[in-house]
Amino acid sequence: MDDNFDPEAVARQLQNKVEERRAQGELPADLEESLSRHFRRIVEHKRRFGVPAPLRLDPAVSRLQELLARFDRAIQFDPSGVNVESNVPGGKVFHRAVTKVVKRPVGGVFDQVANALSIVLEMLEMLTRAVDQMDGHLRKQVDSRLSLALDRLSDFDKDVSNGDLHLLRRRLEALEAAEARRVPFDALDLPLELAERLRANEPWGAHSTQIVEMIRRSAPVLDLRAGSGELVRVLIEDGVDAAGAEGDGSLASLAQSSHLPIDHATPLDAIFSRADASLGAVVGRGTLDRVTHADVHYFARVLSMKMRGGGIGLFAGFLPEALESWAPAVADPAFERPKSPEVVAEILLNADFSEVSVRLERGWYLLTAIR
Amino acid sequence: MKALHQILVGASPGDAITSSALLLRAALRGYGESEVFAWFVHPDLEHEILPAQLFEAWIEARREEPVVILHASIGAPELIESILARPGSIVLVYHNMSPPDDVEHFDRQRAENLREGRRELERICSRVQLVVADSTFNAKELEELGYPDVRVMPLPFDPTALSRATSDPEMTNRLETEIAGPLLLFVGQLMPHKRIDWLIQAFHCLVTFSIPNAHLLIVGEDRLPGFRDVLQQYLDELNLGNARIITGVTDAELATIYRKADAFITLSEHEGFCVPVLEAMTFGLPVTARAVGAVPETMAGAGLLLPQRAGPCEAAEFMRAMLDDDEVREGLKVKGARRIRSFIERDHPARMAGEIAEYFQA
Repeated sequence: MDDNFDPEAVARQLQNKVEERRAQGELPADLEESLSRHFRRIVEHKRRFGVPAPLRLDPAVSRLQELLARFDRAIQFDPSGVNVESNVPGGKVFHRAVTKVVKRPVGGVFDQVANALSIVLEMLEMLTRAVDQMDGHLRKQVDSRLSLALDRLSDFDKDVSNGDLHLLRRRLEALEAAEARRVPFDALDLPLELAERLRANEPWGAHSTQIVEMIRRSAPVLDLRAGSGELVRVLIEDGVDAAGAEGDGSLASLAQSSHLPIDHATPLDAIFSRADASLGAVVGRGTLDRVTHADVHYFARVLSMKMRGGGIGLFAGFLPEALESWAPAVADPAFERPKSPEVVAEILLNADFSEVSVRLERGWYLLTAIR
Repeated sequence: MKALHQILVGASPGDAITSSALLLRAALRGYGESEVFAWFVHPDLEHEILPAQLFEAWIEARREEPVVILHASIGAPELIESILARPGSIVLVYHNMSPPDDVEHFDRQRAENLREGRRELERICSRVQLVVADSTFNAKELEELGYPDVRVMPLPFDPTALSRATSDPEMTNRLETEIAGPLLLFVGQLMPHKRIDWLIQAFHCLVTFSIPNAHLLIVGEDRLPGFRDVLQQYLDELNLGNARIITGVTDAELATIYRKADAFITLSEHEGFCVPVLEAMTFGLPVTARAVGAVPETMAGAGLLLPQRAGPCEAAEFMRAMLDDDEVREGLKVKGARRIRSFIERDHPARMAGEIAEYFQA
């Protein structure tokens, strides 16, 4: 080894190798000069002022930092920046309905967008730091990483145009078109029996005696979707402290005209207005199963909070496969297809209910849960 | 035989000239009385080195004019005046002087001392009987100043002395903790002519284009106020977290560092001898140095010589080869070991002492 090893020959080979790399453009042309200039700047500053040189900021770098700050604010996704105006009749109401329909998928998309943007933000911060310190010799490194980042963002842009976000946009357009064709669903335009049926009130009628027996000793009772007030009336006539809420103004008015304590309110508003641990029983037909996936967990937690320990919850609904589950969707594009009772049971258990049981009937179910 | 006393400007532990003077003293004592005096003496060496300020009194007490062996490496007007005031013989041992221009930016007094040192060389020329340079490069500088018959004798230096030092446990732990990759080492004073800026540039190229996890230790005495700060800022601005500057190390700490290192490199542009090159070879490290000053003769073909005009990319390629290429590593190790054996066998302290003694006996 010693006799054959020639350091001079090795040194020549190594120099030639560098020359080859230079010729192939692997090494930046101004690398050495910019490195030397960089050091001279530090030395000169120290010599003149006796203190370390500050980092030199190019105007472009300053501008980049401003943009970064704007970007930082932009990814906060302020709800006030979302347009809720509409050219079609119904305006905000329609948008609210659309929001319900697309809330979950849009939420998922925004989660991903927010995640991606936070990474982009961090990436830009790091690039900015690199640019802060950039002299010519750093350019190649920063360039390559910047190109990579831009490639990724370009791919993302294609995904937005061609992928899921595009489909979502199409769906929104279709919904808007449907909204334009929508015939407002007015319960009073239908025979009362059908209107009640579409609100899944049938179980109460067929089993009202049995249900009243289950909840009469758990007063006060709140019927979350009271309709025309049939169940509340039965309970009150039986001496039970009961009240109700109905989201449909026509039905609520009808109930109120019969002097029944039925408020015009959504189920969630009705339950939320009650004091904590104040309710002994809550009944709901087409309530938990009709709110969106995003809301149902919140709804169940509020229920749990407002009911006292040992209170009983009775929830009835059509099975997802029942014809009645689909009927309202014909007229209402914002209609939330019912969830299966197993899903509702699981949600209640997660919200601190116990002894959840489900009784299946033909086309509908009755779910009992103890707080 | 007349007494043969050496005089240095400064004496400090780990300093190559001080170590050489002590080795030479041991050899000179074979011919007669010999002491080492220095104008500035580090407290740790007060038991070994006498203060040059007492030289006059020392001579007066002995009533015999000695031969003064003056080690020249920087200007010291008072010291030179006192030597010139005496009638005795003078031997000049020239170790070279750092170029003053770049020093000017950081320490004007030191730059002036270096300029003064060169002027002193001219002033004492006519009084010097014997002139010794520890490299042909240094001899050439003296000849240009008008010195005739300059003898070249390698530095009386024991390259194995450091390798006998035991490892320092704290430094061992620190290196084990902080170094996770191949380690390059530079040892030398933190002075502009050592071109540590080039070294940093080369290291930047190495980690950017070849070995991202490489480490660099810059070990040496912090001689100029503010220069270390400048180097550290350069490292910081280049984001070279794997490069560190360590100053004020003991022999045990330095030996520990040499043992941990994988290769040695210096890109100094002015070297009168370059002791660390031989130390590194003693520790079995492959060595690269810029082919300037006395470096080629000190290396004696046992290391990679980087051409004077080579830039940081070339230096980085040499670094890579020393760290990455087994054939190069092994070849350099073998060459280095042979170079050290040869250097030791020549027993330079004895040869220099013999030449000086014989000159004055004759």
